[in-house]
Amino acid sequence: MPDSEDNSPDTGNREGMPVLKSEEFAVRRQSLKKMAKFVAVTSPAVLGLLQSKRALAASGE
Amino acid sequence: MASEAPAGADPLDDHAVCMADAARRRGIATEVIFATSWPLSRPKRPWLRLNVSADAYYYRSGRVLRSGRDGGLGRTLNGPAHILTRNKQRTKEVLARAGFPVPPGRMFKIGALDQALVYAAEFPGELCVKPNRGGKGDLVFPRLRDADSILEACLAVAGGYEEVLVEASVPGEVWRYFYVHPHIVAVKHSRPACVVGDGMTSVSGLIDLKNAERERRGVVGHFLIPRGPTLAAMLARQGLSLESVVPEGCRVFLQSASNGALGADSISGTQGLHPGYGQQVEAACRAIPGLLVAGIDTVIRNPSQPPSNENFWILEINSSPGVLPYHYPWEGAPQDVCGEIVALLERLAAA
Repeated sequence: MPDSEDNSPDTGNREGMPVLKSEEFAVRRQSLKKMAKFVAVTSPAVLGLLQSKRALAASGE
Repeated sequence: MASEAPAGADPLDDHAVCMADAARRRGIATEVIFATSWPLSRPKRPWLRLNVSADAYYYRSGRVLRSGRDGGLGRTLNGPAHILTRNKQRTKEVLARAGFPVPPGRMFKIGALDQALVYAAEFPGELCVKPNRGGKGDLVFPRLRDADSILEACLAVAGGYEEVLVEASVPGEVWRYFYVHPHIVAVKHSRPACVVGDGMTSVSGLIDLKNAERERRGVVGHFLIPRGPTLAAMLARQGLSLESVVPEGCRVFLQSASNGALGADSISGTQGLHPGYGQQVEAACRAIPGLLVAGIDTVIRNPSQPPSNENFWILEINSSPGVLPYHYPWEGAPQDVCGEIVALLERLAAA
């Protein structure tokens, strides 16, 4: 698991924020948690690929 | 001090041309020099030099620099505020501590994307994912509702930046304020790319008509409405497609973000806007040490009502703000922000 010390704390006011319908929120919550587990394992490789693509695009090749 | 243009050098950017005109109107001498603001950066770029009394200042693409000891490019006019405001989350923390409303959210290093997704999972509303240190609307994904969109947005940002900001996508209209110490000097409403139905023409046809109008009018900083997957997704969210025909007078939004590069309209002025917002924004700018020139993005839910913690948020502060949308609005009267900046430089030089 990557070190999270450099991540920021939560900030801001949540008053007046519209929320999703409970069903939609539950589905999204479950999907995102599954995705998080997958990303935790694969992210170094995926990020390397994404950044290589970006660097390649920037170089014009 | 004027330097010869290197072969193939870029011309002076439109913001600087606008600033040169403002300086000329106030009797301030200007010249163009070719230089780099960072010793190792190449190639040399054109900067507008403003000779204000015994001092000199430099301007290019929204950035104002003081003169260095050698008379060349020096430090940014905004000093430490420039460093702070490049970090959107850090700026929000400073504003929140000072009592100003900002969207709830967190910043994650891209090595901790899984934690960003866990945070998003527990967030109850629509989300905005964007780079913590981005600009000009690059890779900003507002109004995300489903897990796939959130993941795709996080991966897209991670492909280009080191930090991902996950925050609430706050509801309301985007209003942009322009601050020249110590006051707000201009306000505009940024309306995302949109068309208005006539009851006969398809959305695709309406886009063609509006793009033709944009080409004909040639208003600086107002680009053509882009087509592509973002447009299709935005229409689908409203139950529409490019072939849909919408009733007369019905406005259809085509993008979530309100940047000129994405076809947004700049609407100049404060019509229908409660003055309390400007007072709050002005106070927020004064709470940032060293901030002298800035653009402030806000979202306001009920512009005619006074500000509260439930209808107003400061999204970010840009310490190198573009000036063109104020001088060349799609609707409304031009606002002379360049003249205000030149007047500030005159005050600084006289101090």
